[in-house]
Amino acid sequence: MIQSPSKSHSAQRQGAVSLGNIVRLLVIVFFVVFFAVPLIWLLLAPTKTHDQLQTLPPLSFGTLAHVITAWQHLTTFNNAEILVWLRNSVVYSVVGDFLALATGLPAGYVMATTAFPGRKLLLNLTLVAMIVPGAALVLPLFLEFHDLHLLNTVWAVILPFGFYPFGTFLAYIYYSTSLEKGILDAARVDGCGEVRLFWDIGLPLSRNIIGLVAFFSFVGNWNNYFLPFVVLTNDQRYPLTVGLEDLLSNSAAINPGAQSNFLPIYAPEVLLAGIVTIIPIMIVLLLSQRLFARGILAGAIK
Amino acid sequence: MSIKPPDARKPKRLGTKRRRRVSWLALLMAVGLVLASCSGGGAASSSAAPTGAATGTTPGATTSATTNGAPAATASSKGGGVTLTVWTDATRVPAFKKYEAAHPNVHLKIQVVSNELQKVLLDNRAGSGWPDIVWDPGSSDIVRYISSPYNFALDISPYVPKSKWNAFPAWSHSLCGRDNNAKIYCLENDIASEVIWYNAKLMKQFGYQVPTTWLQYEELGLKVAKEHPGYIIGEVGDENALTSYFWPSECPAGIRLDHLKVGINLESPNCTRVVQMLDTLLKAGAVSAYGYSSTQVVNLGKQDKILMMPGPSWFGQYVFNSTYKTPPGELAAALPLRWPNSQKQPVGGDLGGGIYLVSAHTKHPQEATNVILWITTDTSPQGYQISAPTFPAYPPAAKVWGENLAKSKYYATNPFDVLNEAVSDIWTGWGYVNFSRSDIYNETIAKAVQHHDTIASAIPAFQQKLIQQAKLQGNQVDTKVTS
Amino acid sequence: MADEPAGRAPAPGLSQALSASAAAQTRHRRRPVPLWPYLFALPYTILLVLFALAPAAYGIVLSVLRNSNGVNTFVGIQNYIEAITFFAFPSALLHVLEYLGVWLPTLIILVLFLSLLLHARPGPIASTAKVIYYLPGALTGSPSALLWIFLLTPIVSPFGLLLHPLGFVHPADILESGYHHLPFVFAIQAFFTGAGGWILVLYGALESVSQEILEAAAIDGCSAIQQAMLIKLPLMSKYVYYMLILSFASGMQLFVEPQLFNAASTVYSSNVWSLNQVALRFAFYFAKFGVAAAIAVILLILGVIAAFIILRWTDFYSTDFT
Repeated sequence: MIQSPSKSHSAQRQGAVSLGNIVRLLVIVFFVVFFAVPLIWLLLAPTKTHDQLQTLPPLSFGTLAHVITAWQHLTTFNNAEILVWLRNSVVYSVVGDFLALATGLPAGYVMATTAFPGRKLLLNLTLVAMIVPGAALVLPLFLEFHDLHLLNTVWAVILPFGFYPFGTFLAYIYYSTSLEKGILDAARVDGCGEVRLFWDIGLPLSRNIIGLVAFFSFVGNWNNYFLPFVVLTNDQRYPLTVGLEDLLSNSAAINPGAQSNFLPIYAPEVLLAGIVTIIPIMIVLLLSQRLFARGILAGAIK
Repeated sequence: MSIKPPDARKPKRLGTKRRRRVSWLALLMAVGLVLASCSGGGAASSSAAPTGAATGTTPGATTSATTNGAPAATASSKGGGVTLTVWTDATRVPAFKKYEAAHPNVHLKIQVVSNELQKVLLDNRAGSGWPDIVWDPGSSDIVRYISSPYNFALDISPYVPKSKWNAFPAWSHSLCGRDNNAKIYCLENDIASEVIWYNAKLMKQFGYQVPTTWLQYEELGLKVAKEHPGYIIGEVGDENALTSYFWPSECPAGIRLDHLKVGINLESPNCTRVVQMLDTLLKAGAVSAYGYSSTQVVNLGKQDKILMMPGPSWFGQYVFNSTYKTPPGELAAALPLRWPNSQKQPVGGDLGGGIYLVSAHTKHPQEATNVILWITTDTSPQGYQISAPTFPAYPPAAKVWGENLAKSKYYATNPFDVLNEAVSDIWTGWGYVNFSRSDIYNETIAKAVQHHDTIASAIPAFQQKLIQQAKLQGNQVDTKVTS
Repeated sequence: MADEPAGRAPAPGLSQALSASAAAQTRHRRRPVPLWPYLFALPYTILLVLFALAPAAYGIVLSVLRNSNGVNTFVGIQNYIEAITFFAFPSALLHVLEYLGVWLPTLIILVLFLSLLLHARPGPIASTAKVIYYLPGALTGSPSALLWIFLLTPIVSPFGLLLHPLGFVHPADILESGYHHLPFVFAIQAFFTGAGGWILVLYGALESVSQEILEAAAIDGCSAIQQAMLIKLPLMSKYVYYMLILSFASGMQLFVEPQLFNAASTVYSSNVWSLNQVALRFAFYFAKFGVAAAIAVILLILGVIAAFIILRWTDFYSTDFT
C-alpha cells in the first residue's frame, strides 16, 4: 500500500515515519558517538601506562595489570584514605539527598497545587537562590558555620546538601503541569486530608520526577567541591572531591615533573580516580531509572 | 514534618502493588525526620553553650578571638606533651609522621589541605581555626604570608639557633629572612637551582664542548641548528625560560627591590641580551617554542633529541628520567653560565622549592619551630631530608642526600657537586613577589613564540602586564632599574 | 483537518478547562488562610533561608564594605567601581557574552531537539542513549581536566581522526591558538557536560504526556513531528523557560571551564577570562571579598533581570487556580 501514490493520511505517515526514523537514528547515533567516545577512552585509559597514553592508539586496550598498579598507587596514600573519602561521599550525598527530597517535594507540591499568600514570593526566592553566584556565598557561609560552631563537622556539609532548590522547582513545574487538580478536589470531597493527598496521590503520580530530583541532587552533592573545601580541614572527613584534589593536584599527571607532588600519581591514576567517582553516579542513575521507569500518570488519571 | 508519621503507617489500603514504593518512601521520610530532629538538635546545642569548642571563642566576641582562637582547638595536651595542627600536602605527610615517630611527646594533627592561603584568609575573617604549622609548596607565597591581610607567618628568629640559620644558603636567607636576617619567617625545604642539563653521550658524539658563557651557548645552538637540525638546546615555551634565562641574566623582569617594591625594566641591557640571544636561537630552531612538559618537547625527549636544556635541579630525575626516558649513562649537569662582560662567576636562578611556616597565632612557637627545624635540618638516618624527593635546602642535609645520589647509576657523571655549587650561584636580587611572573610570561611571551612571533615583539606586552599586576598587588614599581 | 482537534487538545489545556471550576470552588470554600501549605513548605523554607537567602543577603552587605584587619568600613559603591574598572573586567564581560551567544542557543535547541527525537520512540535505544548523553557530565575536577587535555590534543585524542582533517595537528592548534577560539571550545565543553542533564529533565517531562492522547492523535493522522510540535512542545514550555533562566545565569557565571584550562597551563587560558573568575580572584588572590561580592551582585542582578523578563513574558507562575 505504501507504493501507491495515494495521498491518504496513513500512507503519508508511514513513509514519513520510516524515512524520518532513519534520520532520527542517525542523529541519535551521531550524538551517542560524541558523548560516548570520550567515555570509552576514559574507561580504557587506566589499562595503559602514562607513556602508553601518548604512544598507543587512543582507543586501544592495554593490560588489566596496569589498572591494578594504578589502583595500588591511589591507595598507597595514607592507608588507602581514598576509601574513607569514598565512604564520606556516599554518606554525605545519600543523607543530603533524602533531606532534599523530604523538604523539597512537599514544598514543590504545595506551591503547585495550592494558592496561599507568599507562594509567589517563595517561588521567586527559590529561583534567586539558584541564580546567586557561589562567589557571593563563600565567605558568608563560612562565617555562618563558624558562628554555629559547625565548621569541620559533617553537618556543615550535609545540611547545605539537603537544600536543593533546583529539585523543589522541578517538582513545582511537574506538579503544576502534569497533576490533575480534579483528582485532588475529588479526593478532598471524599474527606481525604492534605497530607494523605500528597502521600497517596501526589507522590505516587510523580515517581518520575522524584527519581530525577533524587538523582540530580545526589550528583550535585557527590560532585560538590567548593562547599566541603571551605568548611572542612580534617582530611578524614573529606569527601572524594576534596580528598582527590589534594592527592591529584600538582601531580606529575598534568604537568610532568610538577614542582610539588612527588607521589606516584600519573595520568592513569588520575583517570582511574575519575572512573571511581563516576561509577556510583552510574549506579544511582540506573537505579533511579529502574525505580521510576515510567510515569504512571497516564494510567492513574483515567 | 511532625504530621507525617501517622500517615506512614496508613497505606495498607493501597494494595500489594504499591507496597514497595510505600516502604521506600517511608524510609525516605523516616530519614528525613531523623535528620530534621538532628539538625534541630544541632542548632539548639550551638545556641546553648557549645560543648566541643567551648574552651575557645566566646560566641559574639570574635575580636578577642585572635588571642585564643586557634590554640583552643590544638593546645589540648596529651600526656604532658603538646598537640600541634599541621596543614600539608599529600607528599609531605611522611615528613611530619617521621617527626612524630622521633618525638613521642609531640602529637601532630596532620591535615592534608590545599590552597592554604585561601583557608588562612577565611580563618582570619572568622578569627579562629588557624593551624600551628603550614607547609606551602610555592615558596613565592611567602610574600603574602608576611603581608596584610594574611599576616600569618610568625617571626621565628627567637626560636631558631643562629648557627643553623646561618648554615642555610644565601638564597634561603633572601627568601625567608627580612631586615638583614633579623627576622625569619620560614624555613626552606628544598632548593631548585637552575643548572645546564646536557646529554653527555651526544655532546661527545657530535664533538661539542659544554659552554661556560651564554655567548658560547648561542654559538653552540647555531652550530647544532646547522649540523644536527632537529636537536634542541633549550625551550622558551614556559616559566622555566623565565627562571633559566632571564633570572641568571639579572634582568629586572619584576624583581623584588624591597618589601612591596618591584623593579620592572625590560629595556635594560640585562634583558635585551637575553631576548636577542633567544630570538636568534628560536629562529634557527635550536630552542623549542614549547614548554618542557608540552607534547612537542616530550616527544623530542623520547627521541633523545634534547642535547641540552637549562633547568632546575629536579629536572634530572623528574623530567629527563621519568618523562623523557633519557637512557641511563647519558645525562649530566653543568654549572650555570655567565654573561662575560658583566658576570665574573656563573649566575643561576631557581624554579620550585617549598617552605614551612609557623603561625603567628600559635601558642607553642618553640615547639612548632622545632618541628620544621627538625624536618629541614635533621641529618640522622631517621631524618626526613636524607631521603626527600628533591634537593634539600639545608647544606648539611644536602650532603647526606647526595650520598644516595652518588649511588645512582643513572647519570653519566654524578651531578651532585654541580647542583650543590649552583645553589650558591642563584642571583638573590630576583626575589619573590606577590604576583605571578610565570603566568604573565606564559600569557605573553610563550604565547607569542607559539604563534611564530619573536620574543622581542612580545616584550612590550610582557612589561605592561608585569607593571599592571605589580600595581594591582599594591607594589611600588621602579621602571628605571637596570638589574 | 481531521487531526486538528486531537492536536489542539493536549493534556494541560484539557485539565485547565476541567479544573477551573473546581479551583473556584476550592477558593470559595476556604476563606481563612489554611495553615497546612505553610507546614508543607516550612522545612524547605528554613533551609532556603539558612543556606541561600541569609548568606546572599550578607554577601550583598559585604559588597558595600571594606575590611581591614578585621574592621569593616562602609565604602558605598567603591567596590563596584573597583570591580568595573579592573583591567580584565571589560574583556571578561565580552568573553562571557560571546560564550553565551554561542552556547545558550545551541544548548536550548539541541536539548529540545534531542529530547523530542528520543521520545518519538521510547524504548531501549532511547533510554540507553540518554544515559550515555548524561554520563560525561558526571566527571569533574582533575580527571575532567585531564580528559579534556587529551581530547583536545590531536595526536593523542580519540577524536584525532576528526581533528586531523580539520587542520588540527598540534595541541597548540586548538588550545594555544589564542583566546578567540575559547568561547567555542568552552561552549562545546559545557554542552558536553551539561546537555545530558537537561535531556533527562525534558525526557522526564515528556514521559508524563498521556499515552492515550498521543495514540488518539496518531489515529487522527497526526505525524510524529506534528505530535511533537502540537502536543509535546506546549507541555515542555515551562521546563524550557526554566532551563533558559538557569542556563543564562550559569553561563554568565562561567567558571569551571576557563579555570580548568588555566590550571593546565596559563598559556591556554587566563585566570581572569570570565567574570566569575575575576570575582574569585578578587576574593582569594587580592583578598578583597567586598569587590568579589560586588561582582557577584552584578551577576546576580543580571540573572534576576533575565529571569524576570522570561517570567513576565511567559506568565510562568500561572496555574489552574490563579
